[in-house]
Amino acid sequence: MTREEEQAIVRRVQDGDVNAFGDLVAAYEKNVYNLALRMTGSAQDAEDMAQEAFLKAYSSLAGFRGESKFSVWLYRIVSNVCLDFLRKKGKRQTVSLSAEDDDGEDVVLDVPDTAQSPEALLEKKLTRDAVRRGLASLPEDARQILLLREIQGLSYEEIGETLGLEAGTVKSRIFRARKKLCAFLLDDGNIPDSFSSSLSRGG
Amino acid sequence: MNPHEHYRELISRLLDEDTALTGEEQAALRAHLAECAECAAVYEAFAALSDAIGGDLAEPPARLRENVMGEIRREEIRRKNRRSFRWTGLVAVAAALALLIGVAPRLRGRNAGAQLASYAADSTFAKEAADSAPAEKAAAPSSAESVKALEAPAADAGAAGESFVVENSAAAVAAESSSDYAMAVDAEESDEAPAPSMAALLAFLDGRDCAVQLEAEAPDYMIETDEGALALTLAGGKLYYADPSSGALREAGVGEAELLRFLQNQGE
Repeated sequence: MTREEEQAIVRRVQDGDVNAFGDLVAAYEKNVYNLALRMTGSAQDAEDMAQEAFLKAYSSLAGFRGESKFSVWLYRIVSNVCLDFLRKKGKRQTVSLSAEDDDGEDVVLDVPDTAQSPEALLEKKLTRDAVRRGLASLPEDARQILLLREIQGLSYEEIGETLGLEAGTVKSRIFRARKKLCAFLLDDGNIPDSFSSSLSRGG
Repeated sequence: MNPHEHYRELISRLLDEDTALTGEEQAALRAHLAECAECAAVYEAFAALSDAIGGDLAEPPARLRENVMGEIRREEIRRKNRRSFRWTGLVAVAAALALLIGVAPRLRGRNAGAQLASYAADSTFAKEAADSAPAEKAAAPSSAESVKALEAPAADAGAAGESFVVENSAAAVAAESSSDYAMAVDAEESDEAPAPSMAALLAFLDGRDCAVQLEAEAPDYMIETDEGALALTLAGGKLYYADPSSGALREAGVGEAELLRFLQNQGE
């Protein structure tokens, strides 16, 4: 969706077209949900946070002037909703990043990638699992900023807008978060050899 | 510090397609990566991290959008069902009395915001502040003035810059008599607009935890919702309320002026 299309939809919602908001939800729900999922570590919590964020966005939409991109504004809401939730829950460090289904059983989040060999797939999965654990080990702020970059694909400036930071600060925090993650993975040991050797060579 | 640290930060920025990275910096980096195995390894590691984090995004459940839109539509229906609600003379006097005595006005329905805004906009009202209350809070005008203010719909709800909340020093007797009026008001209102939803009000208030201790004073605002009244206290320019489910004190993330606009909008 281009920025113009987005602004047009926002205006329609502001003028009273409720259903138009559905278009915005459709456009952003995947990113919002995944941001919440990586922040909270649970599929159920992610669903609740995503819902709360969209409802908040809807009720504050009257005050949205289009000075920033709608996505940036929305992700700020999502971030705050997740951070508030995490602080209330008191979960600071270890958040499990495997999804849980209704019975509380762990569910693997990967979408199978059929274009690769079994070994490559396994390597990929190991790396992803380890990285998710690593994300959970990061302090929330570091996790948040890395996710905004990697999942939402926001530019440094947009992240700066979302979090109220200078672009320079954003860059260095992302760099530090990546380094921390690499350090975790080296320690973790549960990663494929090729990745591990990259990390240790680069250390 | 590792002499290559500078390059590694550049790697991070390169992967993020940092627009501030100049052509020369990129060329220098690529040249370095070609000859430095360690930094090349960092590049691979960071790239693998990106893949792993952003790689497979989960599909949100279908019910997410359904629930969001369902809740929004329900809220819109609730708003549309609120009928026009005129403040009659009786209600106006009741509300004015409530202010005179210093009891928080009970606000409901469509014109709640209009009423509040007109209180604030009325300068007589603000001028009489000094007499019966501490300097920074406004007190009630004479009843004649307030009736006038109430019956005229507020032209500009945004004029709610002045604090007009009364520090509650109400005697029990005063509260009693005003509650008679309040009962009459409620009877008047009973077939009128349903109150705003507690959930919407709480979402709007955007409360956060706070460590403030409030003196046990009666609230400045009592806002009727579909799940009971929410009491808010103004202190130090901020709004505080007790979270209905946990009882914990929350500091509102919005100010008084925005609260008035929100109440005003409820009626539209």
